[in-house]
Amino acid sequence: MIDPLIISAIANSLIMGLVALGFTLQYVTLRVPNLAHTTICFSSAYITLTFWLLGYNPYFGVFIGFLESSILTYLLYNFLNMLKARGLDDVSLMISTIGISMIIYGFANIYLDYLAYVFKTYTRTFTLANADFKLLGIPGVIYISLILFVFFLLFFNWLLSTKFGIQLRAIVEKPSLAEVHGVDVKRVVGIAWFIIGGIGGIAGSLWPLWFQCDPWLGPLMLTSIFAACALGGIKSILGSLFGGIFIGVSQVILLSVLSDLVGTWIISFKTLIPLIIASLVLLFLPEGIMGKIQKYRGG
Amino acid sequence: MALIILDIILDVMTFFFMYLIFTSCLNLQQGMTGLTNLGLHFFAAIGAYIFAHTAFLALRIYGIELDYIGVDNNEAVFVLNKLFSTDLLTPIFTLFLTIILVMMTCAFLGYIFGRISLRLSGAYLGIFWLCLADSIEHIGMQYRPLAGGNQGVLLPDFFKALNDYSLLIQKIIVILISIITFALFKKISESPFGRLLKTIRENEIVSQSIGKNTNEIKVKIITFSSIFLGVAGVLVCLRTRGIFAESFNRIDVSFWPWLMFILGGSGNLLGSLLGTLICVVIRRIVLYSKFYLTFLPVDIIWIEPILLGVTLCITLLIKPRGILPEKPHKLKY
Repeated sequence: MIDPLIISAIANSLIMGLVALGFTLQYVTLRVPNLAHTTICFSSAYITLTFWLLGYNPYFGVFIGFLESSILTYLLYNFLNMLKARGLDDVSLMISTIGISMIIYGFANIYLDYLAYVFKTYTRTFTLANADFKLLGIPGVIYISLILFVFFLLFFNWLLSTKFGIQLRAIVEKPSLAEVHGVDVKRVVGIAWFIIGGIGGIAGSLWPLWFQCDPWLGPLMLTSIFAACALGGIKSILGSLFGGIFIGVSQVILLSVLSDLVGTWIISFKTLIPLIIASLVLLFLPEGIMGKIQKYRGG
Repeated sequence: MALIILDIILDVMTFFFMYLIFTSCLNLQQGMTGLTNLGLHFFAAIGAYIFAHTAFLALRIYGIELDYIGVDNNEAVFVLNKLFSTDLLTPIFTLFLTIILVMMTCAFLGYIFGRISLRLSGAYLGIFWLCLADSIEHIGMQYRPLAGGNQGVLLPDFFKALNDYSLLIQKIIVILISIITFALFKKISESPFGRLLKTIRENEIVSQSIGKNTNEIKVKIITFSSIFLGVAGVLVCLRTRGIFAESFNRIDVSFWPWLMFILGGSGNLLGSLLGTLICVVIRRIVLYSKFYLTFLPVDIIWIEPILLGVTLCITLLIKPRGILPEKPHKLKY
């Protein structure tokens, strides 16, 4: 039997790594921090809940969660392009993503109210940890998230070596130059957003299988994910994965160590850890760890 | 009926004038200087937390020992309400002292954090303030000695001696402070200093090339607006007669003012005024309709964030410069 603390650390870091990956990919392709990313990703958690309430295996939610998140992210991408075509600056585009986040947050609350009304149950906060399967005493979410994490790493490694990946890399380096060379920037970035939105959706749909979920989770996770991306390097895909894992582990392990040292009262300040890390990184290491390494190498 | 309508109008007016302080500050920071701030709730929360401690200063003046932020909060409020019913000087002195303390603390913190944040700009700067503000909200919610934690702190009626006019006086104070703030910010925006701010917003290098220390000016702007944001925090608590850390959240205190600011028109104070008015009226309508739409299976209050988002997106799409866009300044020769 593995310590639940270790399970929490693994699940937290893997899920956060996947969500952080999407945030960074969106940032490097459009140069706009998508503040709705976490709200979209974790909105798929309600799909997992719905499947469970309907009596199905909650893992069915993973497939629908992928679709829901990728469609929402793709629509958001098109909306941002429309705004960009009207000459809006980066800050205005970022603010518009807040607007989208609030729309999803509002609908999520209405949907949960509706679920509570239909199924006559409490849906404001929920966890489906008991609905998950166990193998060798370890919850299924650990296996699934680990498999998905490795799969997406391999998938991205393969994708970046394809023609599509090379086009995407060219866009990341210089969008205007890529366009001159005949790359359909909107189509390529649109597909990339569709895929990364879906990956985030899968991560979000796995969340309630171990952790507690509520409608505010998505907007709340924004600072954690941002901290992860900033720590790894906001422009580095590998860095965001590392940052996600670091923040995910530190939120659980560091907190456990601190609670042993100073007392259990520190646990209620869990969400402060990424906030403090984000603030410190933004101020003292704005290029992130990967950026620093690149600078050190002379890149 | 007439009294109810009057009460509703007063309620909308108080809300409007309270938000006007936030939008005016945002207009000064983002609209005029280009300093993105997504964490307006940081200084508002600081102001509220200070108020949680100074509000009960009167207890010390009267020589009463009570744990007013903890278990004795209800008793402290009861005792103070009783004492304030015959004394007007002590509560006014307490309020005055609170506002002075809040202004000083917020100015100090605004200067420190403004200086620290100088190396950031645009979206990064906005997210930095958001992180900072969310941190302080979270600390307030978890650390009970600061502002009562999740349960909050109830406040006494500072104008109890005025009996029926107490609420009216509180609303008048909110309106007066807001008008002063707006007038002051309007004066700044029309002054040569206001034009300098716009130059920094448009092209910082140009401002530096004509010998202006843009960093110092930016710090001044953050410090100056922090003072008013802190005071706005006190006014929010005075109105609700309680200090609840969760009421200083990003949606209510930062995102809504952003919508008001964008809807009205960035860089134009009159636009901010119009945007604030429209949003406050819409929000109040949603709130009042909650009491009539009880038959619905969902809580109508969730329409609010949807309205916020939809209005924000439509405004950015149709009128990105707002209803009243910024006009070029006419020089008087």
